[in-house]
Amino acid sequence: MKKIDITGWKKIYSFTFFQTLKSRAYKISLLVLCLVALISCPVMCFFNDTDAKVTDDKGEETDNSSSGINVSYFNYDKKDDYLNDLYEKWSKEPGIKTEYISDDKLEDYKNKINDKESDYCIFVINNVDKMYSLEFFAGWDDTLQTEKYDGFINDMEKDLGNLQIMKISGAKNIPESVNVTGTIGKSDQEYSSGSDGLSYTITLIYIVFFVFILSFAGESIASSVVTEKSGKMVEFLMISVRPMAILVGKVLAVITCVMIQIFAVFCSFAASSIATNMLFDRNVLNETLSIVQNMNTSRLEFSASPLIVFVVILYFAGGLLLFSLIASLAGAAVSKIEELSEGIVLYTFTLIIGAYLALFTAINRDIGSGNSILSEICSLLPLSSPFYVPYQVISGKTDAVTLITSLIILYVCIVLWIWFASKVYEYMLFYNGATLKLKDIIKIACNGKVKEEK
Amino acid sequence: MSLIVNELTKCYGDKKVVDKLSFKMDNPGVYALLGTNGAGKTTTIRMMLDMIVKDGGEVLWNGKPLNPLETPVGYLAEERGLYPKYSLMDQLIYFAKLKNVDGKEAVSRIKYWSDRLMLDEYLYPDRNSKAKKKKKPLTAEQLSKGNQQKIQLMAALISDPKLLIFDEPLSGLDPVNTDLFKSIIHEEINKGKFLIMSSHQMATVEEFCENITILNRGKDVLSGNLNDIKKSYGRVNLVVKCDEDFSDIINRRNINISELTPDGIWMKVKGEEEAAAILNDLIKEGKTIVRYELNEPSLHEIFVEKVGGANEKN
Repeated sequence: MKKIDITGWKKIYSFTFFQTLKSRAYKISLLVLCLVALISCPVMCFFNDTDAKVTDDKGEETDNSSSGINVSYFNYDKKDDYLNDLYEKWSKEPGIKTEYISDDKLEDYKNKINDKESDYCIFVINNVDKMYSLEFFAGWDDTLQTEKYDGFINDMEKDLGNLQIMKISGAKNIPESVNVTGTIGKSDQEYSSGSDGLSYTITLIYIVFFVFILSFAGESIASSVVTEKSGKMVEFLMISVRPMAILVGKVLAVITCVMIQIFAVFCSFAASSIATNMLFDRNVLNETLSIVQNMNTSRLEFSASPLIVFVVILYFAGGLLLFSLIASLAGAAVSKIEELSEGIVLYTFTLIIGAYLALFTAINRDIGSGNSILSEICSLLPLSSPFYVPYQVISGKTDAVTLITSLIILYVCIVLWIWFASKVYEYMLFYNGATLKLKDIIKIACNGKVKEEK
Repeated sequence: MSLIVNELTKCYGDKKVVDKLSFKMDNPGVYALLGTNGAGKTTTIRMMLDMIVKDGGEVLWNGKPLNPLETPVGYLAEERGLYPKYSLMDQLIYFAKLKNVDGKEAVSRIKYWSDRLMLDEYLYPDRNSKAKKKKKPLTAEQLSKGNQQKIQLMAALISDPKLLIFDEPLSGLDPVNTDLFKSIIHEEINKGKFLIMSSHQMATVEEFCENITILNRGKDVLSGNLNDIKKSYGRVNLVVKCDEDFSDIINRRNINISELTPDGIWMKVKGEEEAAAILNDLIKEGKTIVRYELNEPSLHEIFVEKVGGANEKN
């Protein structure tokens, strides 16, 4: 692709952008989304109040059901700042409840695990000869439990390792004997209200939100392309700019419009949150942010927040770009606006594959037994990674290598799509006939034509 | 300035839709591309404008390959296209900007062409309105087909291009608008512009074009100067109208009658000598001659002969 191929894209961009902003469909959808965002905080407030009342009625049961993980400590010097810091840190993990337990109680837990009366996991941290060791007791399936608490165990190990290094370097006074025990437990009831249940809910909300955005953007781009094609405006455009300039200008304009919509929705949500705070003394925005902040982000080596936000934006933009390119080809595959629904099947199909694969993997990961291979595939596949990886990043459930590989694959795929589009888009814009199928489009890319006849 | 089309070729699969088409324009004027539906006219135009990839040949403007992105070309497509739901003014400014005409200049040119094409009431709906509330800008879907065509013509001429390519410019226009379009075409020719025109309306082509190419199934079956082509056929169309019946003369000379109309009998003669002999016979027999005309064949006849003849051979 040469520079001249995209010369003039800014003119296409500005025209498409302003005309989309002026369009009635855009204005209506923006209004509806902002209204939904505006009423969301008061509605969430109302339902949270109801939940609180129900929980209060249950008394002690409330405490038990809200506890996903229990970490307990005993027999250590409470003046040790390091351990106190760790204690503070671990107690902030979502769903973790901490308590001091005695030797007897620890033995009692172990017995219950051995007798299969409890599915709790217990961690015992011993300091022998200034070295820490982490022991793990789980009654029914050690491997499965370890996988489930993989992130948390990693955290514990890392924290203890750091602590050990500091102790060895003599930064502070070392207590002579430290013996820390932690227990982690889960019951079936707790899954729905624990951190993984929350994780699943947020993944679901994100996927639905993203699918909605992609559907709107894809529909806008495809209908815009087919309108120009069927209305023959494209002939006039193509004596002034190349097809790739039309494609780039159009895709970027629609993406900008979608971004504006998202921004407006967030602003409405923030305004709604402020209003709710003033009227009902509840800060829903802060509550929501604190839920996200409390998620485990420590598996990433570079877990600084701005970087995570940047990575999420990269995925979001990449997904939007990739699916918009697919939508533009879907629009060019049909000759009449009435056939758009037929042509857009290709787009809808890819969107559904990506979204459902992400959703299935999220369910499998959070509620089912979890399958790391499926999770890896979903993270690396460009159709599903924009849906799946952002939450993985926020919740710290992915590692840096997978993340970087996935991002590279996504953006290489976008570049390949642009290259592919540059080969077929020109032909497709002038093609008149039955809706082109994927195999026809591939033929065009290979042979420069689809059929023997014109 | 000159325009040279040299051995332009386009294939779809094994089928050659344009087969080594060549023609050239050394001087400003109108060049007609004629042909039946599917003859390859629009494909030729699209190749000339670099919209589709050529399988062979070249198009030279002033000796250099024609690049519409660099050389302004006014193009009026066969199938008119305007955005149905966008305001007309927005579209025209957009089309002008695509042709590198800046905003202010575009507005003044739109005003000029709006006056010239009598489109003020659609492009400036508030101009003569006394109502305080501004009217909504008109969109293309609110215009008649003829007025949409005028907007398209404006879009084609807004960059004041030296080279114009009009594909069926007069199709679908009423007589008043046809005359308006014709007058604008005459003006553009007088300004020294090069116009390539494709049309089915032979009378229009005869009115404007000095040179023609007749295409049939992608092949050039006849091309050259229209007057020379006609002269080469000779004056063989005879129209005679008398007060009395003269069918015996026609029968005696075994003349082919093309058409019988109240305006006279249309005949095909072998040449001027046979026409003169018929006139002598009419005078000798004392017929009252109301009409006597000897003409070259019309472009329509030449076209039908060339295209029909070629198709019969195939």
